[in-house]
Amino acid sequence: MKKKSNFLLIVSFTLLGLQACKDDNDDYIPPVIKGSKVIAMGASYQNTVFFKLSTEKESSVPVSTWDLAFESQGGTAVRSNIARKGGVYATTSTDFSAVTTVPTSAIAYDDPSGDLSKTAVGAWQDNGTSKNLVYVLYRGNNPPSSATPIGYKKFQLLGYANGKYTIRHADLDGSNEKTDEITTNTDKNFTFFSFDEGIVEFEPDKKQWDIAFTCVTVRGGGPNSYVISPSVVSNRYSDVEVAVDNPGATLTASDDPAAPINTFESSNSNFSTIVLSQIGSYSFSNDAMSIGRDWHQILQPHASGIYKVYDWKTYIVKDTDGNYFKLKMTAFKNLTTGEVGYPSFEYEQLQ
Amino acid sequence: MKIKGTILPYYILLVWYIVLSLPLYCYAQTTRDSLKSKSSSKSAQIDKGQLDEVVIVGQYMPTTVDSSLYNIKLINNTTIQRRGAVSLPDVLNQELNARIVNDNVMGSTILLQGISGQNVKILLDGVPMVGGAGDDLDLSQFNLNNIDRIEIVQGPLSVQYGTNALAGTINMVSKQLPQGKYGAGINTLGETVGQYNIDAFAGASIGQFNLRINGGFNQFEGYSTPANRSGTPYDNRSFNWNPKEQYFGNIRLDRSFGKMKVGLSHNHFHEDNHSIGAPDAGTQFLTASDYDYVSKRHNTVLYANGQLANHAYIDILNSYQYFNRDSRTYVTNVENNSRNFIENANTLFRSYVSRASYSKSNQEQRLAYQLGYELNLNAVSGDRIALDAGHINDFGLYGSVQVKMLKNLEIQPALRYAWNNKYDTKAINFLGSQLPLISSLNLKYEPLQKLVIRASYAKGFRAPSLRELYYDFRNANHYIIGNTALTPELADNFIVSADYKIQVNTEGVLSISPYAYINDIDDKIELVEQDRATLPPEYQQINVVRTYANIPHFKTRGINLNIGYRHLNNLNVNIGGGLLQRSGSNSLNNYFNSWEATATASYWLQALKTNANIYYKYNGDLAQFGLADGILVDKTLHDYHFLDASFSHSFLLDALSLTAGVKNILNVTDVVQTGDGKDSLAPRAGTRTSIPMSWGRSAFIRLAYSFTKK
Repeated sequence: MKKKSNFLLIVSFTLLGLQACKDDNDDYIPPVIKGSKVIAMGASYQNTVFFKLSTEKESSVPVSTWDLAFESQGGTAVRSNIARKGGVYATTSTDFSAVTTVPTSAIAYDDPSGDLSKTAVGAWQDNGTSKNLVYVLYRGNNPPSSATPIGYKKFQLLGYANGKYTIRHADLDGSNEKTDEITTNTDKNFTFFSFDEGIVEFEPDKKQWDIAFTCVTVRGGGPNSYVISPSVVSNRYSDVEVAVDNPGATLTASDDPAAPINTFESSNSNFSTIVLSQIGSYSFSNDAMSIGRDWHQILQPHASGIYKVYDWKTYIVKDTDGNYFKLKMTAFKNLTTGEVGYPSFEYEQLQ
Repeated sequence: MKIKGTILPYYILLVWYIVLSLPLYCYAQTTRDSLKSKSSSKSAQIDKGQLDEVVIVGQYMPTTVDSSLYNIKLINNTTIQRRGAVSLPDVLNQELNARIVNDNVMGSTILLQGISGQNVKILLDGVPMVGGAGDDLDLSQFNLNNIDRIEIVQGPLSVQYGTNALAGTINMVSKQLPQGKYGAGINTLGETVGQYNIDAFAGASIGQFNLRINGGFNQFEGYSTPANRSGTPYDNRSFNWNPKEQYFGNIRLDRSFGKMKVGLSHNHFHEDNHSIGAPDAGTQFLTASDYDYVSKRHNTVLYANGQLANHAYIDILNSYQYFNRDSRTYVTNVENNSRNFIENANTLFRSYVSRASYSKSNQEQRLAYQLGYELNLNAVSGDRIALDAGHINDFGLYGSVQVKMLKNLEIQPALRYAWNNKYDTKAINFLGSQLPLISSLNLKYEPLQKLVIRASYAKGFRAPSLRELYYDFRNANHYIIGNTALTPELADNFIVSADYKIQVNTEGVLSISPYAYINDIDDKIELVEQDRATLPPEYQQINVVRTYANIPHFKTRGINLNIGYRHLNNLNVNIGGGLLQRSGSNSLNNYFNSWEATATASYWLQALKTNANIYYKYNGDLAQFGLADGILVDKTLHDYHFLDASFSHSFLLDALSLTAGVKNILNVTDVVQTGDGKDSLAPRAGTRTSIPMSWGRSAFIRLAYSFTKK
């Protein structure tokens, strides 16, 4: 290089090149989506963000604070943490110490719809008495978008009485065995439990959130495969219901960038015209996945990480207090870093 | 980084002004020398055919194309000039059995005899080039400004060059300093698509020392087909041919000791490649992800070669090569073009090569031989490569014997002993003996004075790359890992060819050259779906599970026919056609056909003292096949035609040469691919509906000036 620099022409051309180079990193001015609220789930989907529409109150809690959630409104459903791909292997054994390996049976995940009759743990009682079945919990990945497993735990639900669950749990090899009593918090839909920390705070009080931004575990494209998918789940346990205004309802889902659904113009949206008097014409659902994950679609080639946001879909949300809001998703990525996990949305109370 | 594209043409004009005014005094000096060579200047205009041109790749000592035991295709400097070629793909795209496939991240890669670029050894003055975005080299990073000629050997040269020399070997030979006291030159090329190339050299001989320095700059402003941008709303910025700037330089110093030369050469290459993203659908098209790919290649070679006493020839080289590729990610606000640096992913290749050969060959004796060794120390590090990848080291000892059986029959058996630190070379299993020996047998027979028949068998092999062994990419949805149990790809290659010349009257020579080849590859390494049941339970539900595996069998075979006609010294016509068939375990042994044709013609217009040239290549449908859930699917790249034409003229007694022409007259851009297959000819292209093949019709003008003082 030293010799080369002797060569006048090359030097001058290099200088030209250098002068033409201008590193303009420092003065980045991010664009703004007017009127949109940005939710920071994080690039590795590490947070669940609860949101109350009427007060705009947002609370962000790390996904990895809990393993199991216990129904606290009278029922006895037990949920596992599908936000980080936690799943359950049900064994037929009632002998806690006999289960020492990951069962060869298929893993089950909670149904993302939030239907408590479709949890991975399922009906653990028979006429109010525990079946004492041993479950093996795959605790999921930390962070959720990684392939870094947290590990396994086995547990037995020994009983539920007077708002108290009794759970016996241990590592697969039997170490760290413990029996915990979980006193449910009736201010909440669920009481959250961590094998490491005991009872933890996760969800706001039951009427203090309408929708939550979180991942759910759903079927993937490969055989018997599951993926985590960033979603908006509604608080069905506190009467939140959602209707969808979908001008592209006839379009077939596709990840082909040229498919009609992916070239459908934003201007088809009815968001600006929907008024309160119209709500009777919509059918509302209490499915927690009514907004769900169909507002975004990764496009081919998947490696490029381009997510299309279907901002022409309008969601009409009846909140925990019976107010109606219209809402549309506007973006999925961070406008400064380009990372996924930053959904933004625009909403308005219906008048 | 932004370069104002419009500056450069003015700059070139300025430089030309300086250059043309400065050496007026040289003109008088060079006139005398040029006059001397005037008698030969016409023959320099005419491509005399290449049979008496010198080649070195795989040879005992520099020899002529005609007398080589191998079928060597030579692309000489005249062709490079006339085609307005800037980088290696620009000339290779004319070759039979060769395809260039492009991608805006991976660059330009080659497919030779139906086998992908990892199996093609790319040499610069005998030094194997390493590094790239994947395992394939980006051939567009090899600028031809300092290249005198390109030697192409199809079929394995694994005995001589070891791993990767399976489908073929391409050796770029650097320009040497013209004989004389000193010389210098400048060469510029402008192409209407927005490509500008300028380079210059200077050299001198002082006593026994020779010094040559050259350097240059290439700018490409980027090109996007309308189809590329139509995929994304509001896209007025993305390219499928990335804008880039390349800087290159070379210094070579050698000293003669009798017929030996000992020297030092250093090459430097730097490329800034700007991948401009389409507006991101995930941010309401307000931002885009942009990437700067910055590649640096340094290569230092210490060499000694030449004739010893007693008809012995020695060729020694030691080289250290460094290739670094940064992939810098930015988020850009597409409204104000400000951008935010996010991260840099880096890949570093380092390679040390030592090779030497000793050859003894005497025309009067029946026996000649060559002995040599090659040591290759390679290291790769970077993102998504497992930490334990470390080094891959390769050592080979080779030897061959040339026997003149009869007056017109030559046979050359050759063997290489191979050792590698990452896999058991015994898998090569020479003749079932469990020995790590690679063999070849070449035969040249001249039953008539005008007929040469060549036949060869060669074992080729390709070692698993560090990426194939140690790739490691895991997240919630992906589990793609290398496979340390891979064995080398092994190929048996057979080639038969003939060259027959017929004198037509006294004015013309007609040549007919049939050529046939078979490549049988065992254990070809492919990225395949992995059985989830073999994974730990926590990974069994992962969506995308891939690993590298040896697939049992892959086969390519083909026939070519070339017919050439040369009339006096003013017309040279060549037409050729070929059929390629590909098959393998992943095609359930079905054959996929692909046709090719080439035609080139050059004509010397005496009245205008100008050479007119036409280059044509037809590339037929080409399928990439694979299995999806056990069912054969293929993705077929449709056919396309390349046609170039140019005129070349020399002024000032050959000191100044002008070439003007049009590349890609038929305006080929993206070529459609159809079918269900996900496997692709180019990395990352499996899901695309088209592959960029060229940037469309483009006129070029090349102006070169050089002088030599004897």
